[in-house]
Amino acid sequence: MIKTSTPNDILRILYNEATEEEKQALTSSFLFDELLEETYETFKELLEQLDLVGMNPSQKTVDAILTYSKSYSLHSTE
Amino acid sequence: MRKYAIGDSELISQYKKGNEGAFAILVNRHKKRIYTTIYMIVKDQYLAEDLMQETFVKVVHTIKSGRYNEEGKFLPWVSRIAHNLAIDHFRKAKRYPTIVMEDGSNIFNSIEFSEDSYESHQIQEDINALLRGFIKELPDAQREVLMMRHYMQMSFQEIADATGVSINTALGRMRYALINIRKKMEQKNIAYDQNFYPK
Repeated sequence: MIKTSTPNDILRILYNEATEEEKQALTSSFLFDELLEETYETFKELLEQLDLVGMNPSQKTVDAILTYSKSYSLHSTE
Repeated sequence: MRKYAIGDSELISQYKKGNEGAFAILVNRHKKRIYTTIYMIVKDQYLAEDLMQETFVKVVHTIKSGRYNEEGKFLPWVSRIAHNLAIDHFRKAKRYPTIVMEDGSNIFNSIEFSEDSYESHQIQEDINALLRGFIKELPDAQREVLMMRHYMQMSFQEIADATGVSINTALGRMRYALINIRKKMEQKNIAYDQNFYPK
């Protein structure tokens, strides 16, 4: 019996939480379910877009963190 | 999930042995996701910067005192520290104002200029700002799952356990979060597949 995939399966596959069997089932489902394939593409693109949305802290903050770590080392080895 | 030549566990091992360079790689590798997690909760750049430092003070202390025991899951661990600190501050102060520029746009720091022109970079930044707005507008339960899965890199099962719901509910919330963001993008006429020009 062929296992059909669901939109929830798509999310688990995109986040590498699915088994190989589930990935193959999704590919098979695309053959007869265009809507599912469209959902897959939409979610994939959205997740890629979410990667770009992230913000970086200032270099000053990063430097402060690294300096703190180094000073912690000095302090702990005294 | 991105694969690195040197994994987080190896870097942490080296850091424990005193290799500060390994720690610098860890910080730079994950700073974006951790900072974003904080910012999306407190919605204030300066407070987010402070909480970022506070988060790593705890990280440094925990690792260097030999109490770190979550090998292989560095980012979710740090993200949870950041998340908890941000929630604590948010609860104490109830509300923080959003910092805006004179032209009304949000202040976003540390723009990573690449070879792209300033204009194309600015267009992408505008789109990103819109998307951040869409995320902020999501219902709390949906935004929480999205932040936990995408930025804190918790698995759906871990999210389900942390929020006291079934894994299918966690997956459903993520699905609706994406559908809602998609709808908002369509309303703003944001296209994916060419250049991003919002109307």
